[in-house]
Amino acid sequence: MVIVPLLAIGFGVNIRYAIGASLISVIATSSGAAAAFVREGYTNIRLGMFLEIATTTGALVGAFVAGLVSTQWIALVFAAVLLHSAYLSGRPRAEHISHDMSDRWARWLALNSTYPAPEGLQPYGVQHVPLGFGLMFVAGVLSGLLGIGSGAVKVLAMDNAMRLPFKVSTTTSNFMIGVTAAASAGVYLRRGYIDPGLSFSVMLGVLAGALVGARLLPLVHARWLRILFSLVVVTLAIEMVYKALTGRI
Amino acid sequence: MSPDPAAERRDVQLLLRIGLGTAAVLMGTGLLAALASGPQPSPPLQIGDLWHRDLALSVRLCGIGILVLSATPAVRVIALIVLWVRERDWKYAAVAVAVAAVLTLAVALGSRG
Repeated sequence: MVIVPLLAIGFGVNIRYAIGASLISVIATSSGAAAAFVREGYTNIRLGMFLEIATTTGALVGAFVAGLVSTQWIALVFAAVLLHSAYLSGRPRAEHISHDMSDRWARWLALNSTYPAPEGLQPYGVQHVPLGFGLMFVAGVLSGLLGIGSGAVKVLAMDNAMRLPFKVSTTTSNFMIGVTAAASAGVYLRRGYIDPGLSFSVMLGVLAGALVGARLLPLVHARWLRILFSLVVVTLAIEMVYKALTGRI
Repeated sequence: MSPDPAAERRDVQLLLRIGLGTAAVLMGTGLLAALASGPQPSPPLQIGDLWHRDLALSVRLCGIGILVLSATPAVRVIALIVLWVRERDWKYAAVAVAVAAVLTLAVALGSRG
């Protein structure tokens, strides 16, 4: 989420090329993580595939809209998403596991499943499937428009609306991000908005940063991380709004 | 043939690793070629440009690597179509076909507008 504003504001990269580079790094990191998580049994592959219909369609719409609207409007929408992410990061994430297996759509699509827990496989029921599907379409539009993974909207859909356990929603969301980003990347590739040198550099940097971050995580208190994240994101959002309104992006 | 979640997970994991590994090798080789030959122009590319005769090797390899990386999630979708057809799970084979259709549409329509 910070790649696009950092490239656009910090390095003066055209926002569409910044989004293209971000999409490539999203595919790389998502695919790498999914390869690790999917074997553990948390990822609900069938739910992920079903919701991918919504996210990929949304991503297609978002990528097309990105080519039609001005970069100033893209920056303003991005700023709104950044502020929403900063707000969500300050709130505790409540788990709402449902054992209700009666949702009509979940039963017809065989979406209810189990996840591994210390006490053995635990069942869970998927709720409000149409609402989750609609929210995933919105997540897809944001992904295609802004070149992000839309984790904030996916969390809203899976945790709050569909009542999935944390690890199931996180891993299933991660599983889906790669396909969602690939839908947008297809459009950006055809339109020539992917700079190989920039994309490769960004991808290497993100992967290296993820490795360093994973080492530092046990040493840093979560509260300070949330504060730092919120400060960075709010600063970037303000910068994006300023540059959009003054026509510098 | 009954659903086999373990086979689904195993096949998906294998495909993701193959795609990532192939893309990493291509892009890594492109980086080495760039280091060996010095800085080359790296213009934003469209898919068709990758086969252009005058394109520097390092840029071509990076570009193909990016193409492979972008295609990896799509290949994962195709693999699940095959798996679910083998299991005669027509509902999910249709779901996966719908996702593949949207991905195809994204590439096909991307050149317009």
